[in-house]
Amino acid sequence: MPRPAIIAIVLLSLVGGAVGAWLSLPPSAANAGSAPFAGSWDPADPRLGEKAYVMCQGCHGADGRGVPGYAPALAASRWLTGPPEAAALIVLHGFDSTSEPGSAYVSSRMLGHGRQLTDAEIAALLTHARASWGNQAPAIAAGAVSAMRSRFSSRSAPWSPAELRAITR
Amino acid sequence: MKIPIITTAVAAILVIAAAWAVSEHRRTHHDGRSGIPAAEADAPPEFALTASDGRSVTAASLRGTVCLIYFGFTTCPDVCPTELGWMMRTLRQLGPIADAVQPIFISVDPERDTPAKLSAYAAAFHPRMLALTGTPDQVKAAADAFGVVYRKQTPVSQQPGFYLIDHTMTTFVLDREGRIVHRLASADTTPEQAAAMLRALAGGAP
Repeated sequence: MPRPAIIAIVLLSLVGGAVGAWLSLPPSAANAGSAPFAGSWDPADPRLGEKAYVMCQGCHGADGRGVPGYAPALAASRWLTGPPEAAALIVLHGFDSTSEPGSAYVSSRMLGHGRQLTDAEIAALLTHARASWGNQAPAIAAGAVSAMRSRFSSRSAPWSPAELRAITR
Repeated sequence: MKIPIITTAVAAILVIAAAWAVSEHRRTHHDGRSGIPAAEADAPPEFALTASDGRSVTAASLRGTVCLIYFGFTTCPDVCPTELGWMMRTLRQLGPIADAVQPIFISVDPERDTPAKLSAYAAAFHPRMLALTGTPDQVKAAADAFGVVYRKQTPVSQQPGFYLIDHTMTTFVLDREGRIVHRLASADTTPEQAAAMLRALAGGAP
């Protein structure tokens, strides 16, 4: 077989492979970014906050008591019941106190849930948690979560306590 | 330069073959967790479990219904809520056709996931979600039937009885004959795409 023909075959095979790969690429790019999507729950559900808290209860417990050394209690949590901005950012991007002096959480950090939850869902679950287990903090509006999501749209890493203190000071 | 017609033909065939091979490989192997190409899994997986309300549920009792099945545990920190949230968004995309699809959560943690915990967990996600459990042997047999693996992790907290479980994170789509027709994950498939697959299966008259 002449050499140009072999080259042509090799080139065409490569192109074919690339086309095949492109045709079957997973659409993960469509999931990238932090743009809100249609939520998992009906936004008009009166029990939205309670239901969306299912995202949190695996670590923080249905009773808000947490797991020692792994996930802090939400009952009487100052981060949860403090400034709404900090509470919203923790759910959006996560929380990492592993390098905080004296932290009880040396190897456990919280990942963000901004890609799984809409702003309305985050506001509702925070409002629920801020009024449960003895907590008595005021409700958080979806707009407050949206404001944090857009203000820190390029953020993906969990927040350190020092960063949150600087933002909410 | 002149390339003989036969060479051109061979080249064309190779192009098509290469494209097909790559696409076929992606199709059958994109889910590295299960490892079983969908086309080969024609035999419906069999299982016998108990719903959180005490009813007995078997593969046979679900025949005639398109099912979405996910294995996990209720204290799972991120993967389970993420995948179940994706399942709910998929069902919301379906509109009224969602009523023809049965969402199912199977616990791989029969020790801790009591019927009461499972009921509350399932209800938080969807009013019609079926939460199944069983004896450790029944759960193991069900997982084996789907090619699902799970294993307790080493403790991450000193709290007694606290542990996490590594597990397969695939959502299985079963057709009305109980065959696995899709293996999905939120990272690869959008709720819109999953809804289109379900519409094709559940859209017609039952």
